[in-house]
Amino acid sequence: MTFTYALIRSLRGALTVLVLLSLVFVILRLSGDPLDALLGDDADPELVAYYTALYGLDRPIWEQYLRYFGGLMQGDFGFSYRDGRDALEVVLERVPATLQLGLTAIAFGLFLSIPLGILGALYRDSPMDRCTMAFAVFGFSLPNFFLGILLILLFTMTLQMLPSSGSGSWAHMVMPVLTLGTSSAGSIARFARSSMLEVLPKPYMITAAAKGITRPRRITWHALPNAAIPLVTILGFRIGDIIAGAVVVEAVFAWPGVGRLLVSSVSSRDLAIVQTIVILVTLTMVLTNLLVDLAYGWIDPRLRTERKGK
Amino acid sequence: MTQPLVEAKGLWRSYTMPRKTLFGRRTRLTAVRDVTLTIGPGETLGLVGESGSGKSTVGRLILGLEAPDVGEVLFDGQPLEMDNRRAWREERRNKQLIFQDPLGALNPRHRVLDQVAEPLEVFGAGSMASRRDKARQMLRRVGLSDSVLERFPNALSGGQRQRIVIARALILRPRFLVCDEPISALDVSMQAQVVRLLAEVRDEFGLVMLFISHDLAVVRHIAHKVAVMYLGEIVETAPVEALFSSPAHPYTQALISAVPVPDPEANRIRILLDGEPPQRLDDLKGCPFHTRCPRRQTVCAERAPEPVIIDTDRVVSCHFPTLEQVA
Amino acid sequence: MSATDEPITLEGPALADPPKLLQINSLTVVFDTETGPVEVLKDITLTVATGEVLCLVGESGCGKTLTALTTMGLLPHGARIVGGSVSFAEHRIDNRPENMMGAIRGREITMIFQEPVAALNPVHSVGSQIGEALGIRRGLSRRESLAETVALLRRVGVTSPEERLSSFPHELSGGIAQRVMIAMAIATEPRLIIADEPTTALDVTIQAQILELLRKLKCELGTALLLINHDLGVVAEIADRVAVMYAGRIVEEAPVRTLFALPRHPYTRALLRSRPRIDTPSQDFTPIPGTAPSLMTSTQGCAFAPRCTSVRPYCSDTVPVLEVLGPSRVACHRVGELN
Repeated sequence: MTFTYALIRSLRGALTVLVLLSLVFVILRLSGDPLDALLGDDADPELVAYYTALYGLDRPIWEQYLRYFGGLMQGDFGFSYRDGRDALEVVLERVPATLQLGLTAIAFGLFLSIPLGILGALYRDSPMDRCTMAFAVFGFSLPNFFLGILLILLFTMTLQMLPSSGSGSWAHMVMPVLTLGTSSAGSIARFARSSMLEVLPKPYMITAAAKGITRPRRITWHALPNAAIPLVTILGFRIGDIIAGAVVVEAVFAWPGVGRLLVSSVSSRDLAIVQTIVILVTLTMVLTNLLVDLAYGWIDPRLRTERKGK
Repeated sequence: MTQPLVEAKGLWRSYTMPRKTLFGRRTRLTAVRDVTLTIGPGETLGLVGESGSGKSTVGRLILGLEAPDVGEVLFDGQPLEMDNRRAWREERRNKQLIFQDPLGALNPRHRVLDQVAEPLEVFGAGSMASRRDKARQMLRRVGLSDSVLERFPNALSGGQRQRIVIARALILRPRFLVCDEPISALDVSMQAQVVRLLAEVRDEFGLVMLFISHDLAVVRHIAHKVAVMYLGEIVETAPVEALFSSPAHPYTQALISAVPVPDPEANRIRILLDGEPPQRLDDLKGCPFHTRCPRRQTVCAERAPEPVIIDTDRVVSCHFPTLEQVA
Repeated sequence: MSATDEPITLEGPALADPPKLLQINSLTVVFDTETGPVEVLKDITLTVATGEVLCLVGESGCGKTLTALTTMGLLPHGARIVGGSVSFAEHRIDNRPENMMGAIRGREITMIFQEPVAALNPVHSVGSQIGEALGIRRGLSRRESLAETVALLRRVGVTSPEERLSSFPHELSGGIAQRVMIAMAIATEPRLIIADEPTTALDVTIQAQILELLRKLKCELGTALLLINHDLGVVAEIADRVAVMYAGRIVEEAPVRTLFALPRHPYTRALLRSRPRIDTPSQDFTPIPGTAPSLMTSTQGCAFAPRCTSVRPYCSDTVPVLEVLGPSRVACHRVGELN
């Protein structure tokens, strides 16, 4: 049943989160003293000792680890070394901005790429198909930061149409969304095209034609669901790319999201913040993978584990 | 009585099926169930049955490519040494396999001549020149012209590829050849050519052969003795003419009657079976064929029939075998 | 056969014949390649009468399937008709635009295929795929369509059809999947079913069941059948008439009994002798030497000449045309001498 299927997947997801958190904890705790960054190299030793004791940094690493996880179990994510605020609170107030940017970019990417890929496959080798593929190559071969800078040069410096940084209006969103959406759109378009091309000559497509089914219905009801199966995988990967891309894009356009918070927190070794972001990102990825797996089971009856009555 | 070259005694092999639910019981599929057969010197045994009957598994067990759960295989009176790598390797020389898909059996990046010479190299026989010479002769023997020697398998037809596989199998002069559906991937006219070739080389090299096929007409023309499998069990064994002229098991009868004859005037009795073979799981009781058998009685679903010898070299596992001549 | 019989060359439809259900006249199809068009179907003339079973036989790659797809108006990418015509019930169907062909394809002519499991869409249930053929074509309501689907499945011998509705193709055996395909093919009560090697991928006891089913449905529905097959045994069982194809041409056509009793073309004869038979004990078969030419290679003269045991030098000069010889039509230069 689908429930069992979902349960197995969820358990696997939880295990992934636990392993990742432990890894991140060990790496971050061993990579340097946060107080160096916070208090400066020539800080008063007494002050350093005070904060070391306050933050529990003098305890053995396994004790810190247990204490941290104990806190997590109770919903305590620790606090920011910079302003003493609750880490979760600091991160969560940045989430809406990133979500706004990320989801808009995904939506933009999908609306652009999937129809283009499908049309490319249906009118294979036509001028439109060639244009689509040229766009796709352009899209995924340009690094995010480079495309961002090009856009700033064009729209801000030359045309003076759009603001280069900040947030607040739709005008602020145009360039970050274009930058973030274009690269995934390119590879999704290519993938949509190739999986469509793979499906079109399948025997069941000939059956559908022989049944006298009209072409629009053959494409939407017979071809698309089958072409979507491999496409779902790539979409799952793209979500990861969007998150990674958001870090860069937020830095380029000074977008006040989680990505920019991560960059500044890493440089100030604000460990609780970094960890909370890592948990959040990991959870997002695990959730995405879970959704992808569930989507598989939903689209492809061959992957549903239990057979129906024989 | 002369000693048989190959003897399989009470072979069992089952596979674990994937779970259907998270905490569901793992079911086991019995692919081969208590299979006993012998192949004497100079003999070709045809092993027939439909898909899922376990005939290919029997082939792999007899070759020692897979170990049986229970039972043993004797070659020349000696048990197969599954654990002793060197002995196993030495034995491989004597036993070769030809299977359905010749392209899968050939390396697409090696030239034809090298692939046929390779087994000689593996067993360190002769110089490079003499090995290539032997390979060339063998390729000619199986009907390939010298123009294919330096080519790659992909550039050749299915029939040519299967000839290459045959040449490679024969180059070590094996004593025993297992052919697993050797012609079913080939075009119609190629099939006849390859069957002819296999019969020729068998006689020429004095090969003992296990010929696994679903094609009963071909088996009738190449085998001396036939074993019929259904759901992992051998239901009937008989000399080829006896089997085709007076089949004793109801499944054999149905199988033979189902093969169409290229003669519109032929007035043959057609036995149509109900339904399809069930999956052979552990809990199937009684005769494996009882769910489709036109002659089933109550006892058939309760108790599995014991093999009965009904004539010289004729064994049938059925509670109610046909013993008169059907002609 | 009297030797005075004047061989008549068929050019186009013989006017005296009553109109046939399916009439293919001098059909020629080319494939466009980089080096220009290659003729793959050459001058095909075939008819299927109402309720008749015509078998099209030949080795793989001789153009059987392409003939079927052309008839359905489903030419593969790169192929086009350059000559001749296809008529169904006296209507030309070869020159129809896609949407007009729709009135015939899937309604008057339906099709079943060699690999039944692959021919069904893996992501849709059996019920919805049959329902699609039914509902769209006949405009039934959901409930009516469901009842009709169950009735169809029962008719093609699927046990407990209600449970099967929600099955997906990968859950079906080859035999059941082919029954589902047949249910789909008879859903619109077509006048012609084209079956492309419908039993080749099936086990022999299942093949016997499917052939029996096709025979039964043909009698009940009065449907004509164009059956493509390479197994002459199957042909002998089900055909009324047989057309033998070689390298994109019809080389012989005859009523089934005539073809098996008195094969005229050297290729037909060779084909009949080429396979071991289950009803003869001896190794009494003669393989045809060599390989059948690919459709994409063009040959000079008779395409079978290189493999023919009765070949004469002039066989490679010109292409033999189909000549009427009693009930048969044969395309061989030596047909007069050989009989």
